[in-house]
Amino acid sequence: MPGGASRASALSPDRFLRFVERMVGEGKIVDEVFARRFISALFFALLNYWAAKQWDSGSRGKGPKQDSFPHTSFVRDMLSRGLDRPIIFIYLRRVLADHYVLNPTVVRVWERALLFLGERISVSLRPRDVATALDAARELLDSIVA
Amino acid sequence: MGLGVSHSPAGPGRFDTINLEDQPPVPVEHDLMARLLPPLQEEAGPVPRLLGDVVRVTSLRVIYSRLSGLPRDAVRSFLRRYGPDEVVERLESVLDLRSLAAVLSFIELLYGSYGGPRLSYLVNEEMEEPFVAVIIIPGCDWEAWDRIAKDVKAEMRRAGLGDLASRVAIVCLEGLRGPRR
Repeated sequence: MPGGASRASALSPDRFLRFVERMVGEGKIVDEVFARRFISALFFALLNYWAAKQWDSGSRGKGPKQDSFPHTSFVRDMLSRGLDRPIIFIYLRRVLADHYVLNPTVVRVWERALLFLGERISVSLRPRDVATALDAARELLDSIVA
Repeated sequence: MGLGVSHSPAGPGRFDTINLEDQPPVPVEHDLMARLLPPLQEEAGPVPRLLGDVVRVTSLRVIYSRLSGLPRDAVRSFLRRYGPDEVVERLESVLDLRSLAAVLSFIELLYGSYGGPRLSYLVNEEMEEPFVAVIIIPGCDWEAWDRIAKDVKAEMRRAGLGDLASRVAIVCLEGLRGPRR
């Protein structure tokens, strides 16, 4: 992979989002495995692209080549733009998709802090959520590109 | 003090304003500022700004100016209305608690009809450390979520609290299920 040219150009998720859109439109999200993999991929495609934009603009992260940007910075940046709904929707389901077996389940990223509400707040992931995640990803991408 | 705050029955799209032609004033039931915060010398209460035929309820800047003079213990005590000690303590390392208290008050004043907001946080899944405060609004759905989040974040920027916007997530509990399809 070239290191000098624009990393954002190489990591633009636009074509991938169109691919996911086609899969959703053709009813190819046939089970939970597909839903999990697509939602996780959407989140990380956006994170990679956002990080590449950071890199291209001169920001530096961690690691030997300073090219590792934490997901917490990505989430915070999206929140600063008022994109609370799309980023929280994708983030919670991405955590479920990659780290939990049950569905619905209670994801640890906020479970302990929410117990005082008197109920465990579960998150579910259904094949139709991929369509919602795709819409959310497009909204986030539009903001990152701008 | 005691500005009459009513929420329009016409739908969530009008929660941030009061239409004087359509609605008589309704006494507020939970005027947090009246109950808890000391009034500033130069004003007796939240001052509505006339904008044609509508009135802005108040501004985050006004609420923040009230809270900025409170001692730290009073701010912590105020925040414990919205979440347990452990949540308040852990959030102290994430953001300025006075700013957070101001945003909670602002949300309760404008969107209290969705249910009282509650305070939580998101943890970094690898380090298990809080990195974002979460304000949970119980009764609002997917559609209201987007509008409320964008309106509150815009208000933060207007109030000079833009840095806070990246450290607070607004979450509508009903909206977590996604849209009704």
